Amino acid sequence: MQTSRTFLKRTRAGAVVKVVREHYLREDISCGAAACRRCTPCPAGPGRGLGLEAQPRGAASSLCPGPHYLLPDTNLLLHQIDILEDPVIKNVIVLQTVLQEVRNRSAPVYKRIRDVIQNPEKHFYSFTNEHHRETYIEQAQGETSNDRNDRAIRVAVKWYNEHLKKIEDEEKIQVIFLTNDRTNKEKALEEGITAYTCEEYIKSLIANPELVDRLACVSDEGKEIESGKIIFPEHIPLSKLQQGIKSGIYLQGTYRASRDNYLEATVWVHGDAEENKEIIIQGLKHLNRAVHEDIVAVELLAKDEWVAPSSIVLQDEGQNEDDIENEEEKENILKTSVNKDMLRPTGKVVGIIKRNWRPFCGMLSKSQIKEARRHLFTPADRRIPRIRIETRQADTLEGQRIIVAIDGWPRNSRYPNGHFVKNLGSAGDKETETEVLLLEHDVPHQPFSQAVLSFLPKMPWSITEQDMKYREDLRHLYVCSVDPPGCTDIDDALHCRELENGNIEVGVHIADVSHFIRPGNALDEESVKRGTTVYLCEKRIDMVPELLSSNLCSLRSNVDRLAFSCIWEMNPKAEILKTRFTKSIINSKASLTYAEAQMRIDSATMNDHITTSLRGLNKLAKILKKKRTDKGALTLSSPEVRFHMDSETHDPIDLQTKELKETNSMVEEFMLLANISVAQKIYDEFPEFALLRKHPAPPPSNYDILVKAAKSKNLEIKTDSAKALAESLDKAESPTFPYLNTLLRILTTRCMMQAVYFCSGMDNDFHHYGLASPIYTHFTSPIRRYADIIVHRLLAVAIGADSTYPELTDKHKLADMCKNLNYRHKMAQYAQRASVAFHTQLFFKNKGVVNEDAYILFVRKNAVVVLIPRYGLEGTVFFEEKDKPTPRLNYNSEVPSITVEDTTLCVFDKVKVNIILDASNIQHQKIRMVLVEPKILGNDVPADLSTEISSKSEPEKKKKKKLQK
Amino acid sequence: MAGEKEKVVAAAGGCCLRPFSCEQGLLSRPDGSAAFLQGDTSVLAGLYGPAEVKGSKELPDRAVLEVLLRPKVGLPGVIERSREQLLRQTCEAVVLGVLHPRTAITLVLQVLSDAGSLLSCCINAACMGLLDAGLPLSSLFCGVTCALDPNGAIILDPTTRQEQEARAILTFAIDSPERKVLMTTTKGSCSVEEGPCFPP
Repeated sequence: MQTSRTFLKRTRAGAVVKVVREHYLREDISCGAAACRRCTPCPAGPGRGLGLEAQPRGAASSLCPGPHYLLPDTNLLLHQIDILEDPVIKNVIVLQTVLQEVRNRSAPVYKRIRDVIQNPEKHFYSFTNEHHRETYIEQAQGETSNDRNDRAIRVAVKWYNEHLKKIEDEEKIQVIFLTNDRTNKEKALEEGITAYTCEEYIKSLIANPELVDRLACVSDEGKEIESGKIIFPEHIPLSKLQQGIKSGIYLQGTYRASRDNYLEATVWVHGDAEENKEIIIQGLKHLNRAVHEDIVAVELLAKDEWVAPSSIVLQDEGQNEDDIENEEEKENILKTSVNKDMLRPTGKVVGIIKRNWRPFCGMLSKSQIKEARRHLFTPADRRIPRIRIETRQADTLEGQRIIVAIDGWPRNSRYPNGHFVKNLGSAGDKETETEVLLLEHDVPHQPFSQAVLSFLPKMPWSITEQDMKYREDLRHLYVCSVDPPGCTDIDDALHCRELENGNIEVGVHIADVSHFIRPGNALDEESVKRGTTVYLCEKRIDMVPELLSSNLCSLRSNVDRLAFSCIWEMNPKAEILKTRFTKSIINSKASLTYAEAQMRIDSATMNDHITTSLRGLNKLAKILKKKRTDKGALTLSSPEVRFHMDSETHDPIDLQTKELKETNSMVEEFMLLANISVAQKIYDEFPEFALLRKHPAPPPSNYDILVKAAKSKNLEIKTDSAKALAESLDKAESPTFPYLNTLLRILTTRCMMQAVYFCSGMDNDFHHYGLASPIYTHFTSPIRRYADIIVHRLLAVAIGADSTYPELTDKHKLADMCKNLNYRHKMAQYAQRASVAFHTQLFFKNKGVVNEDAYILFVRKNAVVVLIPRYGLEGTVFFEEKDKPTPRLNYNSEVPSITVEDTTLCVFDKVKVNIILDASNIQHQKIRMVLVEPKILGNDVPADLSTEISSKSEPEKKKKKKLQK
Repeated sequence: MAGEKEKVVAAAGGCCLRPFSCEQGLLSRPDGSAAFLQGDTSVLAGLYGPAEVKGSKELPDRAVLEVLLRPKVGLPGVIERSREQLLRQTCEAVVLGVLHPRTAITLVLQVLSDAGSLLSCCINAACMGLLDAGLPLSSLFCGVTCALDPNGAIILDPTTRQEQEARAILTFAIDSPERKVLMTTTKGSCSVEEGPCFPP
């Protein structure tokens, strides 16, 4: 044993724990080089790479032509991980010292380097130098731990060089130390170690000049005295910030940039303080290099400097650094419209507590100078500032979607500095755009790693005796599943049979995913990270690997499958007499689509077991639905679209709204019933840590638009309770306007709050407003939602079919998990919408210009939002256009209506719109709608629009060509 | 003093305590008090109780025992918290708390000077304090610290310097009638053979 350190630690609960840490040294740690015969070869197990190659043939370097291994230091690894991940870089020794430092400083980089080490192609080797007898060093007196680590790295390099000399090969392998720290490099050279900076080495690679682009431009501290004007005030160091926050001088919060105005942002202050929750930051200097989502410290300005949020749309268009004067002018524009009541707390960013930079998707805006290597990059997210990158491949990258990472933002630079990471493909391309929207919505979509796949059951899989232990054999029942066409992840199946006593037995059988995904393993961790399966228009991003989602867990017909069953005994009035939960084995007799099931119910000639049980289910479902609506459950409507895809090109060829059949609501009804029964059961069993789902009642003010809109049609909507709302919605019919009811329901949906998962021990409001149920959870779709897996586990413990584990009964961990699940669900929803929007664009691109009937949903100050029922498409019709005189607009917020010139438009008016694809901004293509009927003076639609569009796009190309010259 | 002790220690084959003394009832406000000196280490103990207890801490079947250890300077930290725990466990083993249910007994220990073996001195002060307060005890107890020097020799009641040089430091609390170990704690490492061999 080398050292032993004992210290006392206070746990979160306040108890004191004594920790003893002992450090041991060994002699049998392998150096990892394949040619080395002195070391015992390292065992190649799972989670390890193959070690270093005997004859390292990495990229040829002009600096060191001989065979060599690379050994980077901590900072290099942290900043240049993009380079190290490139397939060209091989044979790298990663020291334990370095790995530990990386782990302490950046978890994402640590994860990435671990993945690289595990990749057998890369030949990365992690050397446990801290435990090797010859490379361990003790911290000298007066030496900082940083200096000690630097020294440990140098000692390890030296040892490696001497060690490798002993290999009896003709060509000696050299170890090259890579560091960007000048003093460290000097010391290394003094000690006779070959050391280069990353830049020197990468530039010396003969065959791979493109790697230079990926170098992160992190300037050495010394180099900061560059020329150029200092634009931004200095950031205050972290220690002072913390002091300031404690004493209340500064406020800590999350920085949110404005989408429409690049000179404005708000900071959401953390904590429970009532006042100053939201602080406005205005102007470049006050924004002080903060980027969207950063955690920042702000200082409030004096009250006479407070401003009102501006309603002006401003987009950053400057190219040069010299535009600062220009900026100041723009800032002044913001301040002109001052209304005393509108003033909000205003502040300035004084320091950054935590950067939340991620790699950003976007496109290159090429510099006007032809030979320039510095270009600006425009992220797809408008809240992110433009980023300056250095690249020599600007020509190839133009028009492509690329990923760029930010490296830093010096005080004298208008834009942050970054480096190019990856090229995703050309913009507008379907694969590229899908990738972009997945990345932008933070949807984990990489293929499942080997570690995850290793926890899958081995094929061929069959049910064993062991599996039967806690299960009921329900294979004799006539179970069937009803799903949308083309569904491969079937997670629910139903059965229904009459009992001898005249009652009816109904069973809902849910795929037993928790049987395959055991708590805590890599598969479980990956699923919880993904949280949900994301359905895009032409693609599905699975939460669990395909073997499970489409095969072993999918309740397909005529195969034995494991299930979790919820079985009720009901009387013919659909009153539940008995509820039972059990793990089971089922054998589905048929997987039907909604249409097939409907057909069976309707056709009088069919009278087999499945059909009769479907009829029984349908009858009960109707009663259940009636009961539910009587209690005040809302039937809401949101237009959903479905694309008909071309089977070859996968281009959308037709668009239609989804149709709902009786069988849809039949399945839905029983799923709701199962969810409610399970929620009750797990809550009874575990009142402190049941995972439930709630839907808070919206604040009354949310309904204002709905009430006003209904009033304009002489209808009254009551919003005091869910039941009153549901009833008044049912009554709101107009014989002359059959679509009105649907429109009202769509509007009602917009008034609702978001339903969320929560842990029962952390909250006391459980009510589900939309379903009018006092308690609710998700149990029925474990293949595509992680929340259901947790509910399955809880239920399994409750009925004694499975054992529990510590995390399951930890309400804080459960609450954290709920937070992640809610976030993932929200992001998945946004990604879905973005995907629909993109496909709608593709559809209209192929279709050209069309005129369609539409209804006005909302009226805004300068526009109306319309809904096109045929496509379920929603769009905004603007009455103001660039380079055109603004028409006279008169907005009436009471009705609500808008008068444009002489035409008045009211909510729910039927109009005709013209739909075109606006491709003038390639990064943000959008559907543009123009009012055709009723006609508005001065807003004429040209007779032949298509020609106009083509002529419009023409000059644009010319402009671009000019720019290139 | 140290030189004197070393002479004595040499005479006694390494096993010798520093001179110790105790004074009881020197404070007027607490229900019991004692000052204990071991060489230059001294601790003052004040004892309050059985007294009224705050609602949340109340135990229905016995008295609550609370130990507060105050360092010579500054505020109590994690080390003090850990020692408080050890002291509380020791005292709970001997105080007949069942005789005073729903009350609180508070023991405050003030370090006056630390010259090694502080924990054992605290234990001794606590015992003398309990005695002075007249609380019903099942037995008396005492504390002793021993250090293993690099050669493996045992030093009883080590000074600060000896503690620093020692390979391992062990502290015991032992009860009076059967000489059973009530509490033990170690710092550093020692082998099983070197370690404490308790009477069966």
